[in-house]
Amino acid sequence: MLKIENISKRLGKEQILKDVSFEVSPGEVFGFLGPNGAGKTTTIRIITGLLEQDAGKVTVNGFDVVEERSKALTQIGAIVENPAFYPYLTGKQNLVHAKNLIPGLGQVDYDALARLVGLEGKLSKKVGEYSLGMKQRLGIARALLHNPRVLILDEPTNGLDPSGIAELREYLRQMAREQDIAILISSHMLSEMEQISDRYAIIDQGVIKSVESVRNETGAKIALRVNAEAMTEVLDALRVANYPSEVLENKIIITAPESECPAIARLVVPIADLHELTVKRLTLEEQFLQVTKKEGDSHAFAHTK
Amino acid sequence: MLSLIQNEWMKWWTTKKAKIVLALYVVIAVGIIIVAKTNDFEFTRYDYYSSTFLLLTSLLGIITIVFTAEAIGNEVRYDTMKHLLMSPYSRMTIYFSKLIFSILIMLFQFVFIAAIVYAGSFVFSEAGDPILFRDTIVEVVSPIFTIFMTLFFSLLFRSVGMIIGFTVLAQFFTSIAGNLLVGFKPAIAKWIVFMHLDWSMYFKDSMTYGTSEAMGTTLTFSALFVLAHIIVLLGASILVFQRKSYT
Repeated sequence: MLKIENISKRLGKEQILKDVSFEVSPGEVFGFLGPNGAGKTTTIRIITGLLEQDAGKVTVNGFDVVEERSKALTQIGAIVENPAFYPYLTGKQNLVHAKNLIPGLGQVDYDALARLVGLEGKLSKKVGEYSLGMKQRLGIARALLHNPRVLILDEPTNGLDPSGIAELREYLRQMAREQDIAILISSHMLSEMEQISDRYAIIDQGVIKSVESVRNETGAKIALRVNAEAMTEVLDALRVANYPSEVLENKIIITAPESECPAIARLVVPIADLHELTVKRLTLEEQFLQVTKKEGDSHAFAHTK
Repeated sequence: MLSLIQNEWMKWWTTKKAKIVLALYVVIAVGIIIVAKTNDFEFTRYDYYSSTFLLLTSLLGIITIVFTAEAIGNEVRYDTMKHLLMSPYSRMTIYFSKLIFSILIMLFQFVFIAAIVYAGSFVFSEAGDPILFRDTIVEVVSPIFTIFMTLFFSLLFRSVGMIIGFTVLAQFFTSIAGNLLVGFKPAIAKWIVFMHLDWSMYFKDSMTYGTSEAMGTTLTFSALFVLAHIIVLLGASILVFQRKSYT
């Protein structure tokens, strides 16, 4: 659906993006994470045709954003940086303006769109009178106006209150699922992305550090409590089977994907009495730290609003 | 393209200043009638038409700069340019929609001014000299050139104030320099484009007749000279707009 292949971009003397690649599938909510200045917005600007990459390729539904610009951009709905509107026009006039920017787009049910984003009865107000949260909602309505196959949202929860964020989260997940839309959301808010995304990519200094599933393919903390006499034997068996483990408060802690639980249980049961097996999922923040620890970098991420 | 022009119309017509400007033309046209009548000026229809039309088209020149500057300047001001550039339309189409709309809006005001002044002239009973279509139509050259020049400056500066300022200053000072040069160095003055925007200088019954003779130019020369400048401004604008990054 959305495929980014080895894109690089230099602005002046600075290499902003280096060989960035990832894919977003239909029905998937993909988090694009990174500290401020990591290259998120530049990547989004390239995807939306605002900037042209020096190398690499971006395709949307098979259409190259550079070679088949018009066809590719017709498939995309986006909010880049902040939702910008004409303040002297009403919400509806701004949506009509956006509709006129899509060649060949038929009738649009503006009231249904307003209901969808929680702006019912507010479209007749001038946008200059809107709060930031209302502008974000109107931005999403504008991005969805032409039923895009790919939705790109750059920091979409800026200015939304907690209930607005929760609503948006539910709405985006439902839309991805029911309408099979590929959604790319960029953010530097790890906790927020954890709740919205299926998968995520971490970008830092223009380089993709990791593409992972939020559902712990990287690793969970699996804790085992076995009889004390068998502890050494279990640790040896785990080491031989290549499961990194350590002992903490009389428990063996293994860092491994959650899906490895049955295999670990099968390994332990013949040699020890297994009293307890618990799984603690890694938070996105822990996964992020794990990824960046490998790289030996330090980062400044926001964890909460 | 038509839908982009519709968008431009919506943005222009929704603002109060569009209606204020039209009202201002009417107020000035009516005001001159009132002043003429109350002071017993011996105005013929021709006198009223030619003087009022000249005054209002001079005002139109300034207003055209403002509206044209805002066509691109406001997109930068409200950060909506990126939204236009993210649309499936090419940058070239977006630029031409702005250009065509600016010309259409100027022509709309031009016709509006001509209509109200012509209608107002019937308040005066004496006809005087005949009102010539020719004298009216030549006044459209200057605002058309202004549009191309303002759009070019719109791509160089981000603020609407700077765009207006530069366009007005360029026009004002170069015109003054040209008019001064006509007196003692007409051979140099003829290479200043602003000296070729008033084509009435080629009509013997015009007040400006003599300027063209001094410069030794013909109507064809002026037309080609202005056209060449328009082509250069258009080419430069397209080149800048294609490459410009609105971040």
